[in-house]
Amino acid sequence: MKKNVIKLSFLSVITICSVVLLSAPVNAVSFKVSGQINRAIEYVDNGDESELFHVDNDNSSTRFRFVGSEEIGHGMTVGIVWETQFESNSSSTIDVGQNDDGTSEFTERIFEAYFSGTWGKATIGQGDGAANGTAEVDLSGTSVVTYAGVNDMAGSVTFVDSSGAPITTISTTRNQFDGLSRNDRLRYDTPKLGPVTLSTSVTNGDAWELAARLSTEMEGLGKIAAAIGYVDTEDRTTPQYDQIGASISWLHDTGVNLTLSYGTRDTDGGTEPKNFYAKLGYIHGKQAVSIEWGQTDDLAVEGDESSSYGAGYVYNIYKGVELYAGYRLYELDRASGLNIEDINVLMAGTRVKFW
Amino acid sequence: MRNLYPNCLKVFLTGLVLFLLVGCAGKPFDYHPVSEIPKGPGLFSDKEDEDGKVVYDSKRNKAKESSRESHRVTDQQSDVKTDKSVGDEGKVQDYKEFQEYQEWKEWQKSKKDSDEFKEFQEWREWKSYQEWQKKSGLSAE
Repeated sequence: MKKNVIKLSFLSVITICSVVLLSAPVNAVSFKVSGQINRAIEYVDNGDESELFHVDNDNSSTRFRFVGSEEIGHGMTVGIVWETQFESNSSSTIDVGQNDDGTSEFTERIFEAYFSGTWGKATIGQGDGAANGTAEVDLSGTSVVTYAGVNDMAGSVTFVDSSGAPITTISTTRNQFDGLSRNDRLRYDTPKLGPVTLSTSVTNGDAWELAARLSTEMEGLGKIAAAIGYVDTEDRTTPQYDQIGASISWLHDTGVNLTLSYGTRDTDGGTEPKNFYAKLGYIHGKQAVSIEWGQTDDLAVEGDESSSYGAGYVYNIYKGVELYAGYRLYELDRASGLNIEDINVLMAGTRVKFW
Repeated sequence: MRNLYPNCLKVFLTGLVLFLLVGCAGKPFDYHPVSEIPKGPGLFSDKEDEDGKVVYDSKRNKAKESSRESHRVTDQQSDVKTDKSVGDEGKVQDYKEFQEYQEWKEWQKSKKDSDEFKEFQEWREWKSYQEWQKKSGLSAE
């Protein structure tokens, strides 16, 4: 099946290229630059020691991008996206005991070219796999500080026991089972079938993904966004795994919102971890507030219950400028009966979109 | 395929059917992924509806060109208007001059019997005489 998929993919590319070469230029060109700075101060207490950090908020990192497109005739558009991030001391890499600025470097996010038309959109290059984001749908307005990806806030912080001895990191025990992000792939998205879009992608190691996304607005009910994605990593990862992730977010006209996420993974010869996440929020004018709970079972060790409780607040103070604050309590219950300390994290910062 | 695959596919297809059923009831909107750069204007954006700094936009440029063209047409029309107004101003000038002429005639009548007017009339007569002498080749001296 995978060989057929690959053949079909190449055939699609050749067809698209042929159409492009036969098309006459129409000169509807657009080229834009945009970016954001997202910096925060983060307090971490692992139950034994505490530390204050100056970080780049990995929920939505500091970055810039170039986006360009041109209509080339016959209803077809060709475009490019170039997006690079630069994080100095990412919130996902800090741990208690670190006293310097950590690492800072350019890292790739998106480098892709696409062809789109009434038939859909074909994308080639580095970017999101078809299922990426399917476990993270969120309409709460507080996702810059809290969302289903709980590792972005403090994933590298280590759980310690009552004597201060390290046990494991948060990210080893937590996962929202989202699709493959930032991979070199060939991706196809259907045009909107009403409010639904279907997507598929193939990447290195013969890994492939399927996804369906829904975004609809109903009178009196508000907005609903939902997604479901499937990943088969084939030879890309060792061990190989199949994964399904889904999420739904509902934003009522009153501002009340509810977000749910579920994911599970079947690792070849390993465990079948599961993740649950729920968030209740309220948006009032320029302000949004939410509370959340999430738990991943059996990821690192069979019987693990790694959970978190949190709250987030975001104030859109000016165009492109957000002030935010968030809190999370991370807990790990291990079947071995170890007395593992809770981790408290408090984060406050600002995201400034400059264009 | 491993055990999970058929289950996952079933779940996926069930979810898809649910999506289509729910989706039929509403109108679609564009969902923006959470970790991406937010949509809308940034701190330095010129316009409220701008999403990213526009380095080049042919549609906008065309709109500017057509705007410039319409300005040019408007300017030309205003030039024509200016000409018309110049004509109007000319008429006003003529009218003012006519009024002044009438006032001068009134003044002439009122000063008809005055010594200054008589002297002025004599001076005019003398000037006329001088011009006649020049034309006939005679010198006044």
